[in-house]
Amino acid sequence: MQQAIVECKNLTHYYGKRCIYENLNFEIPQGRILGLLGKNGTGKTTTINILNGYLKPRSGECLMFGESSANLSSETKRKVGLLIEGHIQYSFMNISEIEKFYSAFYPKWRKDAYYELMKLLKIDPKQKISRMSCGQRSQVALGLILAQDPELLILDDFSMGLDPGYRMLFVDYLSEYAKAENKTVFVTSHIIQDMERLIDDCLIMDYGRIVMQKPVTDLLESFKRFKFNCENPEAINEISDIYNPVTIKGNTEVYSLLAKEDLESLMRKNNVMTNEIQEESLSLEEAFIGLTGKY
Amino acid sequence: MKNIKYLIIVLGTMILAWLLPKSYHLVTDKASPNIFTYYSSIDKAFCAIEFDDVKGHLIRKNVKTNKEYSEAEFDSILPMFYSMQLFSDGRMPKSINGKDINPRVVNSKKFFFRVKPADKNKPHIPLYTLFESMSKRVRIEMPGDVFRLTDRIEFINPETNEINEEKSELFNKQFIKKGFQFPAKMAAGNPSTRKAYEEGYFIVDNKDQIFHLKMVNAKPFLKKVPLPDGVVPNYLQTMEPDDRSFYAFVFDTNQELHIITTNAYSLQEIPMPECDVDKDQLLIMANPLYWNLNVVSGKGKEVWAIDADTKEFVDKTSIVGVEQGVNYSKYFLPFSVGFTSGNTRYIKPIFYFGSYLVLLSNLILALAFAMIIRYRKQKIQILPVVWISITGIYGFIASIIFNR
Amino acid sequence: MTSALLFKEWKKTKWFAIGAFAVGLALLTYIFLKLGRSFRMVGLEHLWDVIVNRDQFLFRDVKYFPLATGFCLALAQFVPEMIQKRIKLSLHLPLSNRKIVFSMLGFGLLALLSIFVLHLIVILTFSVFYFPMEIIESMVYTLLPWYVAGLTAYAFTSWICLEPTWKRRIFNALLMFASLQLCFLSDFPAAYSLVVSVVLLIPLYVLPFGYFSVQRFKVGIQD
Repeated sequence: MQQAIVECKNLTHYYGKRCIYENLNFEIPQGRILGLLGKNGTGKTTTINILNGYLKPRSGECLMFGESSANLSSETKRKVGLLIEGHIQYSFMNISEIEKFYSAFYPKWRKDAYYELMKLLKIDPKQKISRMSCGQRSQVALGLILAQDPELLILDDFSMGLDPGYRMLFVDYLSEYAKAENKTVFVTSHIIQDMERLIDDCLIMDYGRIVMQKPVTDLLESFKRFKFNCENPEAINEISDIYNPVTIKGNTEVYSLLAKEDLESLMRKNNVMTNEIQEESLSLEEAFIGLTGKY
Repeated sequence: MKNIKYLIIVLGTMILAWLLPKSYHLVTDKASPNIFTYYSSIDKAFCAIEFDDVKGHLIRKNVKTNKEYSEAEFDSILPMFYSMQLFSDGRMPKSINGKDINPRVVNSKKFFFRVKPADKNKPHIPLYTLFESMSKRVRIEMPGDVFRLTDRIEFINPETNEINEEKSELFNKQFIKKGFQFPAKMAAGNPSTRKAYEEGYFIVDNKDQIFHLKMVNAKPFLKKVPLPDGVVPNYLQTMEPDDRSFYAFVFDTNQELHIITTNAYSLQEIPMPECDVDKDQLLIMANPLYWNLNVVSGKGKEVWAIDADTKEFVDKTSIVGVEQGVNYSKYFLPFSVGFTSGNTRYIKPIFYFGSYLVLLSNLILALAFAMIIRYRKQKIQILPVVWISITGIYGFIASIIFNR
Repeated sequence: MTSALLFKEWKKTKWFAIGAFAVGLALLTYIFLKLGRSFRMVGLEHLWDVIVNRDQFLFRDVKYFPLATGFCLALAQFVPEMIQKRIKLSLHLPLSNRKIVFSMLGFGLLALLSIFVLHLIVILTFSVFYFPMEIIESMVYTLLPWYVAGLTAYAFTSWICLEPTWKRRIFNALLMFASLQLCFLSDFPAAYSLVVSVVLLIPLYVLPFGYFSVQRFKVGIQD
């Protein structure tokens, strides 16, 4: 197990009286690309804000390189690259000004990394960022983070507003970079297909809790969908280790980490009458829905 | 971070201590009636015009006997005040109290003189215009320069903004010769071309001596005013009355009023009600027979009549200021802050302190604040609670708003 | 690093600052032309007389210029930071938050101060030529509270911008309006001469308020 770069311990947060989560714990291991998956309103943005130090949780703490995220030293801030939701940057600058601006703050600044990406955009270096398309802006934001050469990258909803082409460009560039440089990345996105190409581990959140934190490959190897016809589907609800059973006109779908044989024996033990069970492999998106439900 | 919060609360408190009492008074204040009062040379008593709340109209009456007059009757009861009306109606007696009365006498002896605290206490640019007092022309004309008093007297030409050395030297010699001690404390004059004649300036020097400065045929005229022992001038105002009987009013440091007469600059004391020129208003309404001296102060209005010739006290009356009703503010407004005042043109902070009664409501508010803090599940903070105990409602509101 | 931060502030406010300075100059030119006309029509002696004895003030037209400039400069500088919470980027720069915020506020204050000082220099250079020291002194005392109002408006407006919640912004704005009144209590020339040194401290007192709201932003206080 690699050393954890970020440790969140016992995070509890409420907005007014509404509980977002209680005693949430997770870690971001060094050198991994960790994706945070969750439906809207499950506390993704809350988590990102706490991580970036723009929200003080009601209790618990979040340590980044051993420092409290609420109060990072300049040294630690320098080691963290931040992509804000919507690829926000200083839009009143042009691409060469913004490069000069940031280079002053980071001694290990890699100008080439930035301009390499800018070359792909084929835009004039004097063009203001405010006049660029959303996709172009995302590349500028990414280029700046890459040039900063941080140890940890935190990317909030990087796919927001991007065309498929830019999304793919972003994912490819980022994953290649992270792998080559052994960077740690924490990303959120609402488009799970993009995540599947990018992330090593997934952290799946549902209302108030973490459902699972696992390497994606492990998850997809073990988490399956099972289809069968069933006469007494109510009995399925009694069985633990089964996620989100749905029965429509006698056709039942369930998700589980169990192997097919174990599931079959479990069904028999609980007197669930089924015909032949069919096992299906899943994409990450399907697995996500399997874990958290469609609603 | 915390300290900044307290800066905000302190500012909020001060602003409230300024604006809350101001709005309270805006709602509750009533005008204190400034009743017109004048000494009647016929009735030998003060007469007044006041608004009768019961009858709902103005009544004119003798203050001593309470006898009421009609408007036309009232004219002849106060012939000196309504002299224009009486002369025009041909109703003016030929003589009153054995004194011949005709338009010339009345016009030359009748004047109004008013001093407000804000006339004295105001920012003033120390540059003075000295007119030629023996001008060959009928009208007074601008002299083409102004003077300043520093460690000497200097004349400056406005068109060139340069000092007229020759004239400055000419005048300065006189100042030295007459023993004037620079720098001057104040100079009183009336720099207006709309007056009958020019008597220049009365200047108080650094040793509280008064000098009379005039320009006569382009030459300096400087005379020291012989002051009686114990008279230290506090404030001067010149007057160029039509009868040329005196030059200026002198308020001394004992709150007494004198005039500098044209009789060899001798000082004559003018009896007047207690009057502090820094706080109270003085209005003199003079006529050939009596001078009416009105002093409006916080306590109300005090009116004296004195003999116009001898300046001896004749009679007095007073109008007490109306009660402002019950002043509830003393129960909840611990103090107030003001920046402007009718007594001065300068902006400066003034604190008014309320009564001790307010300490109780301060403590209640401090307690209420502690309860609210508990309800909001914040940590108890000692400083705001102490602050509210001192500043009461102001600190309470500021802390409630800006505490988080 | 600080100079890069200042470069960013300059990028945001450049056109506004130059524009404000130009508008100020245009305003002064207008006033000077007007004055030149009265010099010719009534003569300086009469003008001096009106200033000294009738308490007239020649530069009344500049009264609200500093106020408007301070207000707009704060908007030009901090609205781009608050739109889409761009301030997050600034606060993530590898400097202490205190240094970041106070560099930004310090920049604005200095920029404003430079505009105002240049403006005052133009006024004084003109005035020294036509008026004696006594009148100039009175002029300075009359003008200073108006310029201080500009600096104060800047400090308050940046505080309002940096504040994360609307409810508190309203209270901040009320406090701003009330406090700014303090600089406009009297139109009488040199009315502030006794307290001018205290008045000069007001903007410095208010300037740190913005940092308080940034701290509120940092702990995630929101509407």
